[in-house]
Amino acid sequence: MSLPLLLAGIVYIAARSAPVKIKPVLAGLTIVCFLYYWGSGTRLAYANYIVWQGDKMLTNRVVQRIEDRFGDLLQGPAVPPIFVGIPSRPDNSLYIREETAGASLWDWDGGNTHRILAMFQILGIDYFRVPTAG
Amino acid sequence: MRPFRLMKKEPRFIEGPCRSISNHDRWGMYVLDLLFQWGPSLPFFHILLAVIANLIAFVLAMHLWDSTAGKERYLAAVFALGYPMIAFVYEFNIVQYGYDTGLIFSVASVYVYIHTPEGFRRYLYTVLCMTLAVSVYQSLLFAAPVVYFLYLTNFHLRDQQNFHQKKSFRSAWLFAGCMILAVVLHGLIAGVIRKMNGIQDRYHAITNFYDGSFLATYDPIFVVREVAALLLGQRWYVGWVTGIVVILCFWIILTRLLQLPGYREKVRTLVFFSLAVLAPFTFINYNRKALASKDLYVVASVAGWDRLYSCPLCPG
Repeated sequence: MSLPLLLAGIVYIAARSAPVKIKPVLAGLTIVCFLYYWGSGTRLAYANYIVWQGDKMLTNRVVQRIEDRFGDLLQGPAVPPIFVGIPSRPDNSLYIREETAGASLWDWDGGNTHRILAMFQILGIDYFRVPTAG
Repeated sequence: MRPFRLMKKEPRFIEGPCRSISNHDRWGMYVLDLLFQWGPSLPFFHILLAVIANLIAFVLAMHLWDSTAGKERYLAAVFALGYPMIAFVYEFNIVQYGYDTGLIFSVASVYVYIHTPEGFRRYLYTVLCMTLAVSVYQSLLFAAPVVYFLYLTNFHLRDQQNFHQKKSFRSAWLFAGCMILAVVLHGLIAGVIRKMNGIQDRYHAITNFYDGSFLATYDPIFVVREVAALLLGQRWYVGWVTGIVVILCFWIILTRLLQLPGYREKVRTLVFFSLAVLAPFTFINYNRKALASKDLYVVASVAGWDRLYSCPLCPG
């Protein structure tokens, strides 16, 4: 979160010291940046949205597959699922991945069990627990 | 406005908040959550808070850099408030307001450090502000030296008569000392909270942060390359126009520096300050470990603080 402030400070100091003829150029470029940031921010936000939709779909499919094989999870025996690997993404320009933006809960942090479990639970699927050493 | 989604970094509203946040050593975030009601289903209010807090942090930084700022501040605002690094806001998550509130504390620490008269109170308030910033989100500590560095640079360029090099060196070192104290204080408080709640495990990135291995894994050349890529617009979401703006700004600042009397000394000073900011990271990088904060928790344990208090934040 320091980088935007760093950039702002550099631009401010330069703008204060800039020759009169350069100032309009700097202002014009800044407006272009503003519009560009607006656009890229929106794209990143949409990437988040679409990945979240994909995460939900995959979670449902996983539960469905388990229930098809072992029966109703609410009534049947405890099933210990183990998730191996990370899901592949469609080669689609909407699926953008930049740090947390556009990242899936299935693969973030190396496929963290707590995060995957939290995702299951927020979707109302409360059948699983994180394994303990005991 | 986007539908609510679970944020990758903080799926904590499933676990108990105290345990989850203590696991991340972010007790300040927990206090904020207590104040603003933890885990709302649709955090409209929190997003509004995030935007307002971000704005306050920027206005405070602007006032610090130059209280007579003119229209140039609007140019700076575009980068401080719109740069895609803060795309978190668009995620519509429930923690961004905390990060931005922490940013206020981080900027306020510099403000207090500069505007409070020399003395114990100055350092006390500075350390407290920094500690609060770190307690919300650890990396917010780095915003303080950035703001301070820019303050010195601006002061250097604009007020040559009142700029005393030796005084500013001393001031910079004391500022760095305050940062170290803040990290230690934060570690102590987090340690007491963990001890009182019997929390043994810790989020791995935080453990790595304390023992230095988190920074040690970062090659300095890699970091410089990444920051340069972000500043010069090599990342698609930043755009190459940003690179043109940065290069133009550096050219303007350099030209201005060369026009100053005794510019060599001033350039040397700026280089020194840059190195001073980088020095702690370089030290950690080459030593591969820093003082492990967990050792400091021993102090709290020996003092028996955990027996004196029950956790006011986590009844039961």
